[in-house]
Order: sequence, then structure tokens, then C-alpha cells
Amino acid sequence: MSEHVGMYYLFAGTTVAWILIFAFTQKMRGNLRRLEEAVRLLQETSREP
Amino acid sequence: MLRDVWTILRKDWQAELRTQEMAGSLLVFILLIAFLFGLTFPARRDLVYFFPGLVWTAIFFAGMLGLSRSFAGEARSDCMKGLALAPLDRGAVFLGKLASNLLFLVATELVAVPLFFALFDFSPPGHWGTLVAALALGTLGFASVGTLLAAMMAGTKRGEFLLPLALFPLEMPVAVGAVEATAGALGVAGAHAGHWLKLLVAYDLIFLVVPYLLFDYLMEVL
Amino acid sequence: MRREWLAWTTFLLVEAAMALNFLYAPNLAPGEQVHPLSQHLFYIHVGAAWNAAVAFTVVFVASIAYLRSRDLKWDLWAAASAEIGVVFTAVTLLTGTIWAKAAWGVWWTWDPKLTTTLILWFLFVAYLLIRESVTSPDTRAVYSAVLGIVAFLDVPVVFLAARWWSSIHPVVITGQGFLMPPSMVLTMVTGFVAFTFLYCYWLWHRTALARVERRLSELRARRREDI
Repeated sequence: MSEHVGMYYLFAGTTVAWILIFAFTQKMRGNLRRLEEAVRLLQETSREP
Repeated sequence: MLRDVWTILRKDWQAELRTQEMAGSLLVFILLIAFLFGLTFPARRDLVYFFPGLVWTAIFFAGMLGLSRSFAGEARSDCMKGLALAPLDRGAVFLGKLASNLLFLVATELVAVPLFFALFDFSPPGHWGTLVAALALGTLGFASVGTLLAAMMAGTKRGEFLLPLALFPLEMPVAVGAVEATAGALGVAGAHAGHWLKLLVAYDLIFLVVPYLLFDYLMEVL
Repeated sequence: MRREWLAWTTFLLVEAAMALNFLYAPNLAPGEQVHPLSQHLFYIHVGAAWNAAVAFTVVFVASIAYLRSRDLKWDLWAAASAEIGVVFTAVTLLTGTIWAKAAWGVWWTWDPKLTTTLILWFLFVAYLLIRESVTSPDTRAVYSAVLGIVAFLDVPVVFLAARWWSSIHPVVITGQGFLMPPSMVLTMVTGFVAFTFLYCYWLWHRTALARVERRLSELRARRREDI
């Protein structure tokens, strides 16, 4: 019985860890998208005549 | 083709004979390693079990030093461009450099191996033919991948440091095979020299052909 | 939009894999007397190991594609895949050593699979370090491609060499099929799929970042020329 309770704790723990990892990755992705946009703008404005 | 290889080999050895850049320091290095091992592994009756490992460790370390210098001269004076522009097959450049590295490793072993036997006062009833085969095949495997990587590392920062990092994992089959084959040749129970010699032959074949083909691409950017 | 789809599918799949792992799969593999917790490492272990193999195969293919086409795009794919492969290999090694301690009583044995995985990890860490120390993009791409090809071809030989010592790694997948009850198979397959999605998600992410980095350095170079 106690073993099962342990498994629930483990599941909860890994879920929290995974949500943190995923949220962090998604946030980085948001940054990446803004960076892509900035580089695109830079490229357009610095185009040679 | 063979003449091109010979040309490169002769060039390297003339340069070495004139400057004596490597030979002296390497000889001292080998002596030092042998004495270090002699001090830290006192001669015992079961020496035969780790003797092959000691010999090969010394050869690998000395070989690493030699390899990391083998392209240093070329990089320093921008000779790689000259070699790339020379009317040679680029594979011949690889084989030439490999031949000069091999010659240099064999010279090292001619000093190191008898020295180890003498220092540890070690004379087991061995198959000398098998021992020579193990030394030759192990050296060839070490030198062929080593030449390819040394050519790459000569152009990078921290190259001398990165070369062993990439080379040692790649050489793992050679290390295992050569040590086991040597153990078999020296009559260690349970070591089958024939098995491991076959593995070494297979490794040598693969890693003679693959670097030979890839060197073409490498020469473009060196 | 496609990006969001991949991200959320990955999220749900990994979550499902963990739910199956901890709440559904049996605590003890049949015929094994291992600490119950260690059995749950198994699903993470095989999922990571499988994707490390996938990642390094992608490095190999992308390296060949680069040498044939000279398109730096392939170099970016190889580099991104190598990075993820190193992470997955590290996870494989970590879970593997913990499991080995519980099951075999030792942290490490010189079993062929363990040895090969460790060598693989060393090789691709060296690959990444060498990439870092070359500045010119074309030179770096050729060096990486050559290394990626040689390292990949080295793996079967390493395995063969390691195998001629004794092997005590449990054989799970044989010619007869899985030696596991259905609940374990389901959990393992879900783990495989979830980790594969995770790999794709990270790979896609990493290559996008690498593309921006490249464009940025091009811009910087152009600006230096202007000045």
C-alpha cells in the first residue's frame, strides 16, 4: 500500500518537473520568435542598395 | 600515386632530420614514461596481466604527442595550401602523412618495447610473431584515425588539447584489441590473440578507407 | 501553428508516458527481484537510449548530406541533433547506473552496451567541443561532418570489441518478441513515442535558434564591412 502512495508522489513530482521544463522551453520559444522577428527586420533595413 | 606518397614521406623525414624537432624530446618522453611505470608498478609475478596495458598506454601517449606535432609545421607556415594546390591526388597526401606518422611511431616502438621488457626484467615464453603482428596492426589503426584528426586539430585553437579528447574514444577498439592481442602473444591465459587480431584487421581496413575518402573534403578547408 | 501542435502533443505524450510508468506499469518485472522504484527507471532509460541512437543517426545522415550538398542547413541539423543526443545519452547513462546499482549491486560494469554508450557520449562531447573551437562556419561544418561520420562508423566496432568480454545486460527484445507482460509493453511503447516527440520538438527548436544565430553573425559581418 505504502508503495502505491510513493508512486503517486513520484508521479506528482515528475509532473511538476516536466511542467517546469516545458514552460521554460515554451518561454524560450517565445524569445526565439521575437529574435527571429528582430533579425528579419534588421536584415530588411540593412539591405544593400 | 605511390611516388606521391613517397614524396610526402621524404619531405617530412628530411624536415625532421634537419630540425630534429621531435626525435630528441620524444626519446626522453618514452624513457621518462618507462621509468615512471617502473617506479609505480613494481615488478611482480602477475606482471604479465598488466604489462600489455602499460606498453600500449606509453605508445598511445607518445603517439599522441607525435601526431599533434605532425601537422603543426604545415599549419605554421601555411603549407596546407601548398599541399592542396600541388598536383597530387589528395588521398596521396593523406597516405603520405600517414606513412610518415607510421614510420615515426614504429621508431618510437623500437625504443619503447625493448625498453619495457628490459626495465621490468620480463621474459615470458611468448609468440614473437603474434606480438609483432599486434604491434603493427595496433599502430596502423592508431595512426590512420590519428592522422585524420591531427590534420583537423592543427588548424583549431586548443587543438593539442582536443586531439586526445576525440582520438581516444575513437581508438577504443584499437586499445582493447591491441592490448588483448599482446596479452595473447605473451601467453596470458584466456586471451585469444587470433580473435583480437581479426578485430584489428577489420578496424584498420575501415579506418584506412574512410579517412582516405574524407581527407579530400578536409583539404578544402585546411 | 504547426509548432504549437508539436509542442502540445509532446507535452501530453510525455505526461501520459509518465502516468503509465508510475501509476499503471507493474512495480516488479516478472522474474526479477529488484527494488520496486528502480523498475520505473527502465522506461525512461530505454526511451532515452532509443532517441540517442536516433539522434546520432541523424547526425550521420546530415553530415553526409552536408558533404554532398555544401548546404550549411545540414550542418545546423547535425549540430542540433548531436547536442540533443548528448543529453539523451547522459540520461541513459545516469538511469542505467542507478538501475545497475539496484539490480546488479554495482554502479558500473564493462558490459558492451554500457561501454558503447559511454564511448558514444565521449565522442559526441568531443564533437561539440571541437565545433566550439572552430570559428569559420565552412571549416566548422566540414570538421563536424568528418567527425560525425567517423564517430558513427566507429560505434559498431566499439560494440563488437566490448562484446568480446562477457555480457550481462538483460536481453529484453529478442527474435521471439517482447519478454514482457502487455502492461509493460504499452508503457514502454508510449515512452518510446513520447521521447521521440520530445526529440523532434527540441530538434526543431534548436535548429530554429541556430538559423537565427547564423543570420545574426552574417549581419554582424556585413556591418563590420560597412564600417
